[in-house]
Amino acid sequence: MRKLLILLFGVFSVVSFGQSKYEAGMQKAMQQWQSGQSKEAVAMLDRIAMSDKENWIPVYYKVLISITGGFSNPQADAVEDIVMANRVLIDQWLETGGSEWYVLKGMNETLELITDPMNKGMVQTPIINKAYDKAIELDPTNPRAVYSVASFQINSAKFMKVDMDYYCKMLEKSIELFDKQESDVPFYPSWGKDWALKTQEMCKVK
Amino acid sequence: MRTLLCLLLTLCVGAVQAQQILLSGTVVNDKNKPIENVNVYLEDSFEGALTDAKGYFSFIVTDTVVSGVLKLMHAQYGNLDVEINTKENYNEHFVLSSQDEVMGEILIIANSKNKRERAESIGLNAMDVVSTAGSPGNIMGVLSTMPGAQTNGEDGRLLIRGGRAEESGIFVNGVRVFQPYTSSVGNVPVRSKFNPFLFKGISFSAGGYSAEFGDALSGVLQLDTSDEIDPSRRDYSISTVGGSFAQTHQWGKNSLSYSLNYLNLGAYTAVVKQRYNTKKPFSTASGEMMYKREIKDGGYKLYTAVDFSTIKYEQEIQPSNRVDTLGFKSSNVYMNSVFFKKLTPYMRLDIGTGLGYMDYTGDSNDLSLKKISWDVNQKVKFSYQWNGQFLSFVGVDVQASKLDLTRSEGSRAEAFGTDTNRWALFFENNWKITSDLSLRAGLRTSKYSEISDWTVEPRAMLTYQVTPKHQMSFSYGVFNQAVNLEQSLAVKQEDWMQANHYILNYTYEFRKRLLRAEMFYKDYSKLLLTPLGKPSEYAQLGEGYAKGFDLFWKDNITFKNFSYWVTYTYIDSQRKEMYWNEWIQPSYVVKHNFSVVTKYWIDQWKSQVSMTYNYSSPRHFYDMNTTNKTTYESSPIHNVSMSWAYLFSGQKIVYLSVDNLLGRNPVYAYQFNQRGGQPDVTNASAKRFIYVGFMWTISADKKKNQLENL
Repeated sequence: MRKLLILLFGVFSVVSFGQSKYEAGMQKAMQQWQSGQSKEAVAMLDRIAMSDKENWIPVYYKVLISITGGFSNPQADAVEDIVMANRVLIDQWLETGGSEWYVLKGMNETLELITDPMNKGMVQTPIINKAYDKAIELDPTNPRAVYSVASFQINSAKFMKVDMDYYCKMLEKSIELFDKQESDVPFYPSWGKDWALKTQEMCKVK
Repeated sequence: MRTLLCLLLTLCVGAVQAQQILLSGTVVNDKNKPIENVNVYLEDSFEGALTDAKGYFSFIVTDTVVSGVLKLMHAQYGNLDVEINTKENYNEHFVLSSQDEVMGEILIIANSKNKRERAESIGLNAMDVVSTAGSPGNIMGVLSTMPGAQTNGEDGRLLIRGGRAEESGIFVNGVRVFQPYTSSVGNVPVRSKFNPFLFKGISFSAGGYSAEFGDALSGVLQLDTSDEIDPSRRDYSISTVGGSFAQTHQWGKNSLSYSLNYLNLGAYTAVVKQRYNTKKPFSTASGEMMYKREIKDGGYKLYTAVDFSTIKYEQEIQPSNRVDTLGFKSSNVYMNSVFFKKLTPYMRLDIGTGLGYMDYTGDSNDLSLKKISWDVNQKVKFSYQWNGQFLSFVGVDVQASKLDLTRSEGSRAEAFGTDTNRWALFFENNWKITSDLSLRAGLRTSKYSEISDWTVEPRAMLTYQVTPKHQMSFSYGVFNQAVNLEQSLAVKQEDWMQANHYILNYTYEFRKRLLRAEMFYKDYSKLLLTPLGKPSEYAQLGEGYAKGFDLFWKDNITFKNFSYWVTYTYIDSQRKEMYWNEWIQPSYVVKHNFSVVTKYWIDQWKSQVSMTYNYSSPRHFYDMNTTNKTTYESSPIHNVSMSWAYLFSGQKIVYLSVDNLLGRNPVYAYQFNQRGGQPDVTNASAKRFIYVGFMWTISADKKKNQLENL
């Protein structure tokens, strides 16, 4: 799972000139993130969020960056604090952000789980399932929501018996949705297809 | 393409004309210490940098002039805006003052463990309880592997640092539990009554605890149910000794859970030979109900438990070959209701109510003891967050108890009854003096209807955060306790029993490994003592002490999929108490207690295998009937237990547990006969206890329908 999540996303498709200050800032943040400067990227997103308090997109990426950073090293000391800080932000934006934020919530709770799967598995699993289910309920065409459900189950196969055929089909479905997704909102989340393809390899093994 | 080229050209031309202006500076706090990770930037362009460990930042702006607002942003230190207008390089020194002055909102979720509270108690969760081998599902089982805690084989109750079982207070959501254990007769060890999954947090304090709690000379165990409403689900479980069914139903902002359990040892004891002869097998029928409701800025939780248990058996006692016929019948009801609400962002109100009822009849040969008891506990607490450094709470704690006891032997019957009240007021401040130093200081005062004096109990704890990893703390407290109701039938109590605790704690935490070392000294006074030759009278002239240290090491990370903890407790305790008007080590005290708990997750088998080893040094028993005061020593105890949980699927678990894998047969205790001679020995009822169970959970969300709807 970790290796998967280190993979970078294809969020850099929006390249336009004559950018607004917002777009330039967002783009810089994305570049910094891609080149491994997560801390600087988050600082940039903080600045943008400060100037545009109604917009959930900079905060979304800030949370996403900290979660994916946590996935790459779930045993780090700070991870539990990161999860707590993210929870505060997620609770603030859950209503306005909708489906995409429920995906983040599920991911953040998954991060909490993988810090100690043995002891936290039982408590976290229903919370994660509930968040992803809500994400699908709000937007059944959100490929990230569908992918997240499938991926969470497929990765759980390590710990218990999972109906792989079923969730692999779901994963395929998410890839179809990834190909169909489009949004007019600049920097609207579009990541995930690479991860889905990577997860699909686990289906082929089984 | 052409646009791109044009744009690049324009940019380059611009770059040539503009100059490079270096903006730099340092940021420190009001103690002149550098602040790291301050986000410094120009509001207009988002250009900026983060400060390094020395508080230094620098960035280059390519422009003819820099004018506007330079913003400094930090999570703890807040924000600072500085006007800037420069054509040349700019360097400035900034001071950000700590935001602690800002009022922190009071935490609505009580008992959230922060680092400061580490020293005070050890936190556990339900998984720690069920995945620890030795005593499946019994909270006391895992607690006996904690520093400062002990349970004895023939008793099962929680003993804290050389204290009697009665000296440990058990609380659910801050409200006292009157009958925390299953009923028992003879030497059948008791278990905790509570299902560990009810609780979000289990926090154990081996002394020096907060002024919020009282009437427990040695220590407290706090069990807290989660405040969040539960998602709908259904659980079935079946095992070699019974079965249970549980369901949770969630609607809107409410959730209702209930469970029905039936346990019967009949089939098990028919197959596995026990040391006793079953007349009527041990059976318990019980039900639990939990209702939760979320309200604005608060919540309500109601927990109710009802159980009915019975057993009847014959046991031959060795070496005197006496045959005892023992049995009991017991019904219990317990209710616990909690209401909490944030009245203002800085004030929280907690109202807790506990109600307990017990009807117990125990038979031991011809002697029959019938007890009916009622207990009510009402607690109201206001907490107020004055500012970031100061939190206070004040509260009232009232308890009323009533006990009717009938002792009959053949046709002779004696009836006794008593009812008592106690009131307590408590007040406590948590003061963060500096960022590394904090003080908890409180006062509790109580009145008991049987005792004319009020108690005054100061409690304090000073915590010093040496570095983020090291912490030291010192706590002190005065604790009083009245004798329990059953004893009070025979004793005219004149004063409170009293203990002083002095505890020095050192905690070292790094990368999810925890080392905790504690030294303690407790002195006891005004304990019950029987004057020589008057076995039915008591005077409060007893005294005692307990001193020692404990070590606790927990590591979840060094070995992959393997977590373990190691505990060692040393207690040197002597008392002049009950029949012993001379200093002796009480027979319930174990001097050396050592445990190793391991849990290993095996990927290929989808199983968790746990093993627990427990060593207790021999206890001392004294024959009071002979003049030569012989001391008998119980066996040293080496107990290895193992459990295996296999995850069939996420929802189905098969569970196997074996207690006392080595099949050792220690002497737990001695019982002295009035006739004298060799004392009778108490052993476990069987060498091993084997438990096989199957658990099945059905969540409300129906996975199978999802794919079709997408």
